[in-house]
Amino acid sequence: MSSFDDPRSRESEETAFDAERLERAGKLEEARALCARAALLEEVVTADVPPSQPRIKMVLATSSIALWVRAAKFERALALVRHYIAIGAATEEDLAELAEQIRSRWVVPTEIGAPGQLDEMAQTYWDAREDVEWKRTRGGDDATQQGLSGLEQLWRKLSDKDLAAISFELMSIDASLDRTGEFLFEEPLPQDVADMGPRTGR
Amino acid sequence: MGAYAVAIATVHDHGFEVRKRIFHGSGADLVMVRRGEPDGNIVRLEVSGIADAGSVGARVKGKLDQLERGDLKGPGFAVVVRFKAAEIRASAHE
Repeated sequence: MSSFDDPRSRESEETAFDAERLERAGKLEEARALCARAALLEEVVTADVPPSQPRIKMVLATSSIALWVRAAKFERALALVRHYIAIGAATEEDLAELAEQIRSRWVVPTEIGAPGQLDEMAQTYWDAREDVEWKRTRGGDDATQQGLSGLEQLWRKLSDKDLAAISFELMSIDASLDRTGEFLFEEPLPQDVADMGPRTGR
Repeated sequence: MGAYAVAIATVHDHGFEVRKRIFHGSGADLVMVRRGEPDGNIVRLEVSGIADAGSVGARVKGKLDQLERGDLKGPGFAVVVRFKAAEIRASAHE
């Protein structure tokens, strides 16, 4: 049986279809709740797709993130983008459009602290993910495979607060990398030009 | 949904089997495989339906652009269905 025939995948498809009907009827809150249910089902199926079916895994991974975006659960969607890239389910290029959508729409909740303040579970996951990414960069496939199952287990233990903190951390790092680029090229970024006024850009 | 039904029947006639409706950055479309091939050999299917007015060619081009830009890379098909006003007459004979 292919992962496309998995009953949870079928249920996700039907739930997403119901969500679309609610969206069209203007029942946005109910639609989002159904999208979140569909997204979670798709996410669970994605985790169960064996590495020997990379294309199917990538399709389902993309679909689960897109459904989280439709559910307006941007913090989970953004953390999941990085998670899927780390486990090799997708590449940055595969998920670029979705990542951009999330970054432009997510408003960081005020209760999230400053960058660099992750709770214990979030920090454990973060370290494990960085370890897998580092080993992947160095081409250590065997070591990476060992770390992947541990990473998947840790992912399931993350709370919504952990996910929000992780996503905030990811956004902060991206912003600081942008700033480094700006410094290196001595050129203000377009949004800074807008912030500081048109004279800055001349 | 009418356009989806016509598109699925069309690609079926061309030897493809639609496997799943999936979501991505630009919206949603279908994934299919050539009949008899494994599910890993995914081909995307972009579907659109238009009313009587409007250019089918322009919509196909737009859909092909969407396939090019979308998050899911790889081969794909675009199917655009134009719905013209249908006329149905029925009468009874006693």
